[in-house]
Parts: sequence; C-alpha cells; structure tokens
Amino acid sequence: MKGDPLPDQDHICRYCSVTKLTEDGLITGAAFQLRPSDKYLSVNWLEFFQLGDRQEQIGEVRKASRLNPGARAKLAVLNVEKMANFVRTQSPDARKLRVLHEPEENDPSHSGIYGFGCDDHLIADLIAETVQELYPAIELK
Amino acid sequence: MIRNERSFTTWHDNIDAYEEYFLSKNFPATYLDSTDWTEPQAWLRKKLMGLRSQQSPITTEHEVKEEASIDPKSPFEAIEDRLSEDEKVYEIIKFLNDQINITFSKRLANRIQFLIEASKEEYPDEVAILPESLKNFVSFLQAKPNLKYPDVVLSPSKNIRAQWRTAPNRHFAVEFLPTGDAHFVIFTPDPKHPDKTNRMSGIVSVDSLMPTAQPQGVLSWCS
Repeated sequence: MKGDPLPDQDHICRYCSVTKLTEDGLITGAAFQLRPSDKYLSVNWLEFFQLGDRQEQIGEVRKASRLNPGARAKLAVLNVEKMANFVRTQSPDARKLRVLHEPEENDPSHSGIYGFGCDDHLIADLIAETVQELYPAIELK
Repeated sequence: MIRNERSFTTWHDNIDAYEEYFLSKNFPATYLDSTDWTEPQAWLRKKLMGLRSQQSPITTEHEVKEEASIDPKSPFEAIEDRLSEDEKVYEIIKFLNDQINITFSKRLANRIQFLIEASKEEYPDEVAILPESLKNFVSFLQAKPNLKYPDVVLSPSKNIRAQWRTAPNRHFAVEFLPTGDAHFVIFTPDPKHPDKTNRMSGIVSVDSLMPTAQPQGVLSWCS
C-alpha cells in the first residue's frame, strides 16, 4: 500500500544516467542527489514483482520505466537495510532514511527514499557507497 | 553647464562628480544598473563595481599602475551574452582545447563534449550543462594546475560535479554552482584515528574551496 515502509531485507534499484557515472562506469553520488523540486528519491522495489530471479525483476523495472533511458545508463541495486544503516552510522548527524512504497499507475513498484534534501550531498555520496549490483538500464540484445 | 551641488575638496572629486553627471545625461538607466550585464561596457561595469579604471575617458594617464593587476576582460567575458546556454558551453570547450596551463584540458574538453551529448540524448529539450557552472570549474582548475584529472559528472541541476577519489576514505567531491559557490563533500582518514573516517560537507566560494579543503589533506590524493 502507498506509504508502507519496504521490508529491510528487500532491494531497491535506482536509474542512473550515464552523466552521473565516472568514465569507468562507476556510480557517483550525483546519481542519488535530489532536484530542488523532489520530495524523495525515486527508486523501484524489486521484490514487489514476486519474481525470484534478479534479471526478471530488473526486466519488470525496465518495462515500467517512464524515462527515456540512455544507451549507457545503469540500474543500481541497493539493499534497504544496508543502505539505511550505513547512512545512519556514517553520517555526521546520524541521518535516518526511510524507503516507502509510492506506487504509480504505470509503475506499481515505484518507491521513494525519504529523509534527505537536495543540499544533502554527503548523504547522496553515502548512499552511492552502498550500491551492490549494476545492470544496464536497457536490455542488451 | 549645471553641475551637482556637492562641494569639491580635490580635483579627483571634481572629476568623479563630472563623471556622475556625464553618465546620468548620456547613458540610459539600464547602463547604470549594476545588475544589468547585457551590455559589455567593461569600463562602465568596473566603475559600477567599484573597480573604476583610473584611466577613464576623463581621467587620462592617472595612476595607471594601480590597474596593472586587474585584467579588464577574462577570456570568458569575451563570450557574448547573446549566445544560448549551449553555445556558451561550446565556447568554453573551444577555450579548453586551446588551454596549455591545464595539463589535461583536451581530455576534459572531450569529457564535457560527451556529457553534453549524453545529456541531450536523455533530455533533448533541456540545457545540457549550465555554462556558469562549467566556467567556474575551469577557472578553478586554471588556478590549481597541480590537481589530477577528476571524474567529471553532472548533477541533477546540470551543474558540473568533479570528484577526486582513490578510496572510500579518500573522497573529495565538488559541485560547482553557477553562483560562484562550491558544494563540497570530503571523506578523509581521521588523523588521530586512521582507522576512522572523517566526513564533512559545506558550501564555500570557489576561491575559498582549497583553503577550506586543504587542511583535511585532500591534496594527498588530488594532486
């Protein structure tokens, strides 16, 4: 349901434009920065699809994407608990982040990371440190 | 000719007063607005900024020495205000390609070009990079020629974000804002407890960036 917190053990993925990646294809904190108009950071909840295989989960996210993904963009996968714990224990102000379900009509797994703002670059850089897996944002043929 | 009513104590006051009168009679109001930068009237702009040339149209040959340190036009000021945001960025790339005091200027120019194309691919109707941010970044690199080539990415606001990172606890990231400020993040080993990491962030002027970051030891991995 909308507003429900995601289970700690579950995973989220974030669309990362190639303009936020290093030349070596590594994720930078810019991929997790908010725009001034954003209330939360958009992500997708992978376990929502109830598919055991990560590739299948990623496939569902690709189908639902409202973005115009660049050819070299990536989807970064993070674990909810690890991300929140790392930020809480490593940020100077022990920041508590929450990941809540924010389903949308054509994007039912859509969710949001709450608890930081557009000026919290340090928090964005900490989140980037917890990326566990990377996948191409568009399926490679 | 009627002049204003202030009393004059020196010939400098006389000249200043006459200039005020001359300006008010001969320039439209917009020229006298210090926030209006649409006309490249360098001399007039400097006067309005308190940087009036001592060799003005009226005060010729006076104390020219004091002006020697002030470059009347930076290379960026030569970029016409009428250019579009994207055209300004291309002008800066052209400038970068001609630069010799940034050792990696050509590589950087290629990277900026790539970011423009990637940004346009995803958001064709938006500005690819904010030129003022790029300008501030290049000016910073010109002032700090000993820095290594950074990872350069775009922030969601289309500002340049440069990152020097060699390890999770040797991380220095800077977003160059169009205002002339820099938003930095530093992760560095705690000098008293090297197994711990100090983490800090803030916003300072680009001029104050290295004086602020240097005490945290960033040059040990950035240069």
